[in-house]
Formats: sequence, structure tokens, C-alpha cells
Amino acid sequence: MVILEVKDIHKRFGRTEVLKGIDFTLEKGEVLSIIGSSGSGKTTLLRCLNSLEFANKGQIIVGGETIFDADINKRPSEAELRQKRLHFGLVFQNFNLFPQYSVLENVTLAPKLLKKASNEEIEQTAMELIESVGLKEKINNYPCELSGGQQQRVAIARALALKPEILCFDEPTSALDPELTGEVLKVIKSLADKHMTMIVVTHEMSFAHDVSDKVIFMDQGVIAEQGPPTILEHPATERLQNFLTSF
Amino acid sequence: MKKKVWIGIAVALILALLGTFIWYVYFTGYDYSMADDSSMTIGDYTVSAGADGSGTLEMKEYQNKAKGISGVQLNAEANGSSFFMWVIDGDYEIIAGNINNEVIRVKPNSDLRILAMYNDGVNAGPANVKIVFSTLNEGFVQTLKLFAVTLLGAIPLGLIISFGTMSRFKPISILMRVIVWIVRGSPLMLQLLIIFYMPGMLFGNNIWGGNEIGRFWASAVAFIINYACYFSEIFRGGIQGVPIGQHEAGQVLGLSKSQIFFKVTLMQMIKRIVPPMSNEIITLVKDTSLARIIALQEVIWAGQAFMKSSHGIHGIIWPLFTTGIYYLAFSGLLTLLFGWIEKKLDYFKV
Repeated sequence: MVILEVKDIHKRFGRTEVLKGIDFTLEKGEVLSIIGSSGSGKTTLLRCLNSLEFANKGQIIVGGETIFDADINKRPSEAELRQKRLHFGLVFQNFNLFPQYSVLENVTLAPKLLKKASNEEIEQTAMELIESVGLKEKINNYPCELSGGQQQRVAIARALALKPEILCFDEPTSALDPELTGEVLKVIKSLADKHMTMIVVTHEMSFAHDVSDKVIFMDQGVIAEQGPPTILEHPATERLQNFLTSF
Repeated sequence: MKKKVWIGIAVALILALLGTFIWYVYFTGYDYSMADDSSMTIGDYTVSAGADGSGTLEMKEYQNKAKGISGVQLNAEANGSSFFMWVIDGDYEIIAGNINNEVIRVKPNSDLRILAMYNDGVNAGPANVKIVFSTLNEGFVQTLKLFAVTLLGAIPLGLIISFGTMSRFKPISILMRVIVWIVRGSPLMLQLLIIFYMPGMLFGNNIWGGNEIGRFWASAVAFIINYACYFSEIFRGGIQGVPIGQHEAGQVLGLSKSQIFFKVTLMQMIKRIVPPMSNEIITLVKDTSLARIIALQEVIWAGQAFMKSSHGIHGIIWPLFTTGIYYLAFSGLLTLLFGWIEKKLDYFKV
């Protein structure tokens, strides 16, 4: 079942066209990895999906519902926008945990403010999520007391607490020391095993190869190549070939 | 070892200064005292002189049938000049005059003891100390009022101005920046004078009125505008200092703009602005003294008044110097308060 359809997305910043027509679809439960060099538009694409940026052209359809259509000029209201964002979760490169809240509060803040369930239920779910990312004993610690890898795992739990249909990761391990990337990738892999639909922008080629169902290689604002993870072993295009040899 | 020596020297210096001060206040000047300080009866009393000369105290029965009052009248005189102040004790009720007059009338059968009397224009020891401090206290209440009103007005106005300077609508942000430049770039003393005197000059009508209340509100307006501009720059730094990622994290979690502001960024802003705000607020404590330029009767004004004449005391300068203690004590309290707040916010890092 197709959960996400992205049609002909174009995005310009001033005169620079960052995305020059992106099309792809994603099946429910699939993991999609987006790879490509810096400046190829990977992050901008994720930000368009999460309504942090608005594309100049194209459509985004989630589960049959068009959540973005550049042809409709009317800007969505604040409330509509918030509703649309909730289809997606986003895990940032630099975590963006709320420093003044404890680990538990970071995870429960949004569900409580959005009144997703009773406070007891929210806290119960949050505890389970925190436990599932392996941070049960850090539940009352503050972000400044955690390592980068631990912070990123809290960020994943925080995103999961809202039960998004599609969870996006924007280079989740790029800000981490190499010895900490493993623990975060392990958590993402465990989510893949539970058939969470995910889009992962990453520079970790072996991770992309092992975990994803589908790989997109972006170059200069277009999808230069896409296919199953095997394209990482046998690239069809010269551009992907060149990109992979740089690793 | 060396450190201890220095601390010792510092403590000794402070004690010496304090001692000099107490000695100066209490034991200099004339000190007339009554030979007999028991309850008064009608008759003549001799005042024994402290430093030089002697005086007399005359006591007469007093009656005013027209007003239906009667009592005892005391007339005092020393060295040819009238007494100016009495230090009296006991269970008495003054019908006319007051302790600053050379004549007072009290109810008959008063248990009145005269402990001391002081001549005009003389530093008068303990009695003066009481008067001076109660006058300074009154002045400092005015200082505190100006301080509190300025804070209450300048914090919200500062927020509005900071939003103005950050506005995407260019004319507003430019206008606000110009206002902030003018207010921060010119002396507060000048602003006080302009705000107090300008309306009268332009419209021939002093909207403030010439009394103490008018002066207070003119001062308050000048201080609120001035401090709002300083605060606005601190707030702007605090708001812009919160990383955009915090805002975006709130957005992708489906929070509304106000939820993001109140639940996510506000606390981080507060943590960022507490140190610069504490600096400004302690400066404000001392800046209130500038209101003296339009004769607001704050503590410096009250202290300075004793150099000429105030409450029957003339020509003493120590009350003015003493006002410093008030500022030190209050800013010390504020320092402790802000230290405590900073410590409370220490549990997280931004």
C-alpha cells in the first residue's frame, strides 16, 4: 500500500533552485534511504515533507490525502498546518531536545499539550518508548547530562510519542562521535524491524545498505538514481559510482 | 597568610570608618542637658550647658479660654538664642508647638522629662540621627516606588519595543531602532528634564503639575521609556539567541505558535536574559537618584536637604553620605536575589 507520493517537487531559495522536480513513492512499512553529497537537496526535501519549507511546485500525498499542492494558492491555516505536520515525525541532525525539560518531559510535552490521551496513558507510553531506546535509567536526567547518542535516542522517542505515520531522520548520526553512531543506528534498525515507515537521510552507506528497502541518490536537486539497496553495490550511473568511491 | 593580612587590614579600615562615622554623628556639636530630668512641675529650671554657655527653661501655666484648652507652656532659651529642638520623654501630649519650636505647650500633669535640648544650627547628636534616618527612610520609599514602577512599566514596554525592532515590516523596525538609538544615546538626566519641562514649554501647561506626585510620574515616564529601550535590546538578544532548531522541533511536534513560545523558548530566553537583566536592574537602583534633577524627593534629595535645612536641622553633610548605605544594602539584596535565580536555572544549559 502506497503511503507517500511525492510528485514533481520544485523548491527555490531566491535564484537558487535546490529541488528540480522530485518524484517518488513509498510503501507502508518501507525504509527509504536518501543519500547524496552536501547541497544536493536531501535536507530541503525532508523539510518540505514536514512543512518546514513550502515547495514552489508539486504535490505531496500521504495515504491518499493531498497534504500539499503548490497549485492551490491559499496558504493553509496554522491549525491545518499543524494537522498536516503530524503525519510526519522528524529527527534532527543536532537533536534539538528541549534543554529545560527532563528526558521524560521531552517525550511527554507534545502529547500532553495536544491532549492525545490522558496524562497517565501518555506517561506510560513515554516510559515504554524511553525504555525501548535503552534509556530507562536516564528518565529524570536533563539533556545536558546525556551524551550525543543518548540525546538522539531521546529525540527518536520524542518523535515516536506522537505516533507519526512516517518518521524522517535528517542525518541522525552526523553530529555524533563515531563510537556513538552505533547505538542510534541500532535503534533505527529496531524500528525498521517493527515495520515503521521511515525516510532516512544518511551518509552511513553500510547502514543504508543493510536497513533500507529502497535507496534514492540525489545529485544537484534531482534524483539521479533510485532502486533497491543493491544499487549501492552495482551503481547504474556514473554519478553514483563517483559518489560511492568517495567513501 | 597574606590573604588573611589583607582581610584584616580591610576589616580594620571598615571598622575605623564606621567608628569615625558614629563618633562624628553622636559626639560632636553642642549638647545641652537639663539639670533635673524628673517629671516637671511649674517653676524655673536651669539648663546646664554641655559645651559652652548656659540657658534657661521657663515653665508657665497656660490657658486659652476661647479655645477651651489649658496646659503647661515651656519656653527655652540658651545663649541668647532660642532652642530649636527638644529631646523629651515620658507620658505627655503636646497641645501646641512641636519639638522643633522654642515654645511648646503640653497638657497639665504630663509626665514630661526633658532629656536634652539643642541649639539652632548645631549638629545635635542622637536626636538628629533619629530625624535624619526617618527622613532618609521616607526618601528611600520614594526611590523604591520609582524603582518598582519603572520595572513594572519597562519590562512589558521593552518586550513590545523588541518585537518592534524585530518586525519584518521595515518602517516599524526602522522607527523603533531610531527611538532606541535616541533614548540610549542621550543622557537620562536630559530626558528627565525634557519630559518634565517640555509640555509646559510647548503648550504653556505643565501636564505633570508642580507637586511631588507630578514629579514622580514625570520621573516614572522618563525612566520607563529609558529602561524599556535598554531592556528591549536584552530581550532581542534573548529571543534571537534561542536556536531556530528549538522552534522547528516544536513545529514538527505539532505545537502552536503560542505553545512553542510559552512552553519551549520562553524558559530558554529567561535563562539567557537573567545575567544582563540583573546588571541593568542594579544600575536602575542607582539611576533613580537622577530624578533629583527635577526635585523628586528621593533619598539623595532627602539627604542633600540637610546640607541647607531640613526638619529643623541645618548644615550637616553626613546624611547625604549616609544615603550610600541604602543603595548598597538594596543592591546587595538584589545581587543575592539574582544569584539565587541564576542558581535555580542552573539545572539546564542553553
